[in-house]
Amino acid sequence: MSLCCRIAFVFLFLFCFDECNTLIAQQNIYLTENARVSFTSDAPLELIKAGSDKLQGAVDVEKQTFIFILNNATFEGFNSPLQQEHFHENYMESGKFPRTTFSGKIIEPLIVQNGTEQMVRAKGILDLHGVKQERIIKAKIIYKDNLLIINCLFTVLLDDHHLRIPKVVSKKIAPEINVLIEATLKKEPQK
Amino acid sequence: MKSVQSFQLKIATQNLSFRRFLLTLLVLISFQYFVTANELIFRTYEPDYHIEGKKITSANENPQGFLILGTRGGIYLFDGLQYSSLHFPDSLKNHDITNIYCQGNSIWAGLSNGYLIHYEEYKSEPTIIITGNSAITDILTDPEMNLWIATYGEGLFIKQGDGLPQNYSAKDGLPDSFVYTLQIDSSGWVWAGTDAGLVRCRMNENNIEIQVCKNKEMFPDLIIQALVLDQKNQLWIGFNEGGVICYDTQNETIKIVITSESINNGIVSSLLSIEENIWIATNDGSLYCYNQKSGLLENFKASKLNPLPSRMLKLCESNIGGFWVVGDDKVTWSVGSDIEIFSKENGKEIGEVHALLADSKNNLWYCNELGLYCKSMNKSNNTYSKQVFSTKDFNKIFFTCLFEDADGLIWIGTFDRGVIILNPETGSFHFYDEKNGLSNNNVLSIAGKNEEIWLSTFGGVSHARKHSGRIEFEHLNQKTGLGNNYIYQIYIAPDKRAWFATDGTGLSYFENGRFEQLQDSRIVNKAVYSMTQDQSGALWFAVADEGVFRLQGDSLRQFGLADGLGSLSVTSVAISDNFVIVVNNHRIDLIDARTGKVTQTGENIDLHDIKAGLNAITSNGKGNFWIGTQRGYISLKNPSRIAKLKPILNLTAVKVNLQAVSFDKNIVLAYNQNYISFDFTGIWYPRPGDMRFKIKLEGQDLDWFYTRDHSVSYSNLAPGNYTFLLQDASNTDASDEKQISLHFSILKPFWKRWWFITATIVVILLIIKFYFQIRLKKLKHEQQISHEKMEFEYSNLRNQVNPHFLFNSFSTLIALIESDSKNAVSYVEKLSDYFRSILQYRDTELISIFEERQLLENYIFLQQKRYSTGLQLLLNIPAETQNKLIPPMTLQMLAENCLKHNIASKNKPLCIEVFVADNYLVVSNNLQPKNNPEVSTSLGLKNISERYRLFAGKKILIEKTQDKFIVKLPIIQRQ
Repeated sequence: MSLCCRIAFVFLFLFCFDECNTLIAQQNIYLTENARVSFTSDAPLELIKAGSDKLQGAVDVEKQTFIFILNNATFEGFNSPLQQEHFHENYMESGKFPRTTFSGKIIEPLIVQNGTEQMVRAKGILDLHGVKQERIIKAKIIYKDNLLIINCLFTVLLDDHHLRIPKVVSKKIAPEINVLIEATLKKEPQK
Repeated sequence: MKSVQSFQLKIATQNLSFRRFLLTLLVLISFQYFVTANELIFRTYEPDYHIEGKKITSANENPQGFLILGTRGGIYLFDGLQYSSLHFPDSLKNHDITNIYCQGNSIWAGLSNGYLIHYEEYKSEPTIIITGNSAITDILTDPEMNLWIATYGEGLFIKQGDGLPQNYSAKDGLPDSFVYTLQIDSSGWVWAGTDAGLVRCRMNENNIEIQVCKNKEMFPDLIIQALVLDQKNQLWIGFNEGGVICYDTQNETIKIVITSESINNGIVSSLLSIEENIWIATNDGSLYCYNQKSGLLENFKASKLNPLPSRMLKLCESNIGGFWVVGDDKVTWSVGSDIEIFSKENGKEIGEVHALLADSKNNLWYCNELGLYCKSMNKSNNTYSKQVFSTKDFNKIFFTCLFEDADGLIWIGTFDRGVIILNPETGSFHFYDEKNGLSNNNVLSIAGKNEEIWLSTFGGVSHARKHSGRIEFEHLNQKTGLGNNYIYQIYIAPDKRAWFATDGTGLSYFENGRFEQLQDSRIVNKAVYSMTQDQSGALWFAVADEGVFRLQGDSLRQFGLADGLGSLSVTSVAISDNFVIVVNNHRIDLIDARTGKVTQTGENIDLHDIKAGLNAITSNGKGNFWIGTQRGYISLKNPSRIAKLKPILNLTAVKVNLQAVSFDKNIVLAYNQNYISFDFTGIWYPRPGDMRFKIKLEGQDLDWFYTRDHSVSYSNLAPGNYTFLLQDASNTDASDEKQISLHFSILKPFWKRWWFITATIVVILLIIKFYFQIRLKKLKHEQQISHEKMEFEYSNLRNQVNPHFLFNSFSTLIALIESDSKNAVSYVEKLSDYFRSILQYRDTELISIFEERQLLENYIFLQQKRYSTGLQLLLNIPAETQNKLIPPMTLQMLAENCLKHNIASKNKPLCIEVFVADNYLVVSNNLQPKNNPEVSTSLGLKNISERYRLFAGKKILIEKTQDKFIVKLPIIQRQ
């Protein structure tokens, strides 16, 4: 990720949380170093798998807040180009809703101590396909050498986000999509 | 399938280290306890077209019993039959309701954008209160009438009186600004559950006091989604993923923990406390009840017909009794756990249950077609029913009755095989039958106390005694004084007397070594199926096809259909505190032993044809009863609470001549306001369609009439006092406190009211009085007139025969005859004219002046013959006056008077002038009185004046000057 992009992201993050005291806030912000989101739809007739490593995110360990943003167009690894086209045009409507975001707060107090591993609940709004849903998602957070390693697995119900599947292909797409997030966040160095 | 869950009981003390020690200890030996899955009585309401697809978000019941539903598309009022929308402020575009709160008649509805709508009453116009812009999650009012508003994102808003809502969020010391729920305790603390734990707040005048609890140290989870305070002011906390705990707010300790696992890791969405029960609803659609007395946690299943919502949002108490489970797609009413139906066991239908026994070790024994089962109701044991015997074990044996003796041995009565005595500890059992001395192998009932056990068989009664492990039977039957050999039930009364309900000879009892029969000729049918005795010593017994009798001393009362019993063929009776449980084929009725009031528990709460077995009832002595039915068994608790289940009746409108009137006060109506209609509702959520009313208008109706309509009209009501009475149809008690009674009176029309009649009589009397007064006056007047007339006639008569006049006339006549015979003839003619006129006018009251003038002229003519030029008459009466009226002889009398009193000679002529002046006819003469005048009687003038007064109502004027005497006569107009 380029520096320019990083700075832009920090500003976006700060803007999102309506915070102006940038200097202090920066000290506790972790930005994604590399992050991957992947999903599987295990339907009776077809197993769809795809992923994107363009997931961007930030965690403020002091304020216990977070934001993750994904450009839907970055999903790749479909079984066929046709499947990818259907995914974007018919289901996700990526042209209309280009981004998916999940932002909110972390319930359990984060223990920022080298080598700790803890389970936390991230509570926030999942904005997918233009439909906002409040979700509590469990995540495993490992703090190691100034890095936050986040691992979490959750499901998205297509119905919750008004993702309508034509009856003809209902056997090809599962009503429940399993989503896996693996992210490594690095503390933003002080300027 | 029942799942085995773990339950941890934690007792906390104030000493932290000791508490930790205890906690570890207790967790180590944590109790294993079991969640049973029984059916409750539920009634599910799916949304109709009004709220179809609008997702319910919250609900609460108002005092009228209406369920106020908040949805994503407005507020609705539900009465069990239909949904009607509440008036929504036109200015609001957002209809997304997130919370409904009812306090008294007030309704508050919170919206997703932080607006709050307030209705003084469900019919009234709403007002809007604006808080922040976050969704409102909970609302409550404290005793100082401060309004507390919980929001999702902005913490709390507190509105004091008419002030603006003040905001208190995480910046002000709240652990988090996302608040889910509020509760207020008896000491005025408002407890709030947030995303970061529990906090309590209190308003001290205008300052808020915020105390955050030791959430991380004490509670299993931070996210608190549900709170409820129980009767003991303990706070029950429901967590997102930490189950439920009971928190002692006084000592700040945790008393009871219901782990997340024991509620199947459900997210607690709502808690409700009803007496000793804590109800728990989870997001995944499971309903649990924790009983604080028994310590049992139960999970309840709903039937396919009346499912529970799949996403439970809220639990709220119902004013008819029971409670609501509010889900986003439907709402379900439940009677609660006082009536539980057990129809399946381990997934299999139980079928007909013949006999039940709740033993001293908290086990429930029951037998059906398949065998004998034992089910432990201790939380420390498995709640699976264990089959003790299968009927196949003993060649299709039929179990008839169960009994536990003082040693804890279970006696099992059978048909054809005598009695089995089972040791539940070891599982060893032994058959006792005729060979052992039992009177017969068919056992119907077993009862006893201590070492004395009675068995009723087809062959009479066996009295069993235990002697050092051995059992001896003594055979008693009709020959030994027992009324009948066929005994349906043996009942050991609280005073240890053994009673026998016989088939044919009524009740018998055993005393001093012999049987006595209770004879009462009033009971025709002597087949008694079941009996019991209440605390006051009264006997209650069920007689075949005659209902239930209550006998105390000599007073006997029969309860039948008219008293509200469901059927006359009662199969068993039992006593629970003050209630007699009466089981019949159709349903279970409860009779209040003190008042005799019957409460029906049957179709009205969806408990259909239960077809209970004869005396298939047992009690654990703690108020819990089990009743065997054709499809499993029913558990019955708290009859007093069940008896309180009553429809709520509301009078919604009273219309007089089609105009709605206020009915807060007594209504007084005019005589023509006699067309009255009453609109009412009856809230009965178990079966709203079957709600029937009983109506009576006291003063008009002689008897109750029954209707399903929600309105009734009365027309042409006669004046009088009326009382409108409304009850639900199942009510058999006239003096019910839940009935509606409204007094009103129609006044009599004013002409029938006492004041009018009195006034009329007075007026009539006055009229009569006046009439008589006038009449009397008239009579007097007439009398006076006739008197005057008489006097006048008398004087006239006197004039007629005035000898002087006649003598003088004759003298003049003689003179004339000699001197002027021609004039003599005309003189006689004038004289005769004069007398004719007198005669003619004698009876007339008034004559014309013209006639009077002629009379006067005649008179003067006659006198002029005598006085010659000594008498002069100057008449000057205008023609228009000539036809006016005058009493007859007036002028003649005045002229006569003049002659009488004055000198008339040639030297001194008497001149009489008659003329009209100022509406008066004036008669004047020059005054030259005689030297020796004739004695005056003054009768002439007096007579004239009286006649004027009487006939014309006018006065004559008499003036006397130095040289003239003037009489002024008013001219009388013709009428």
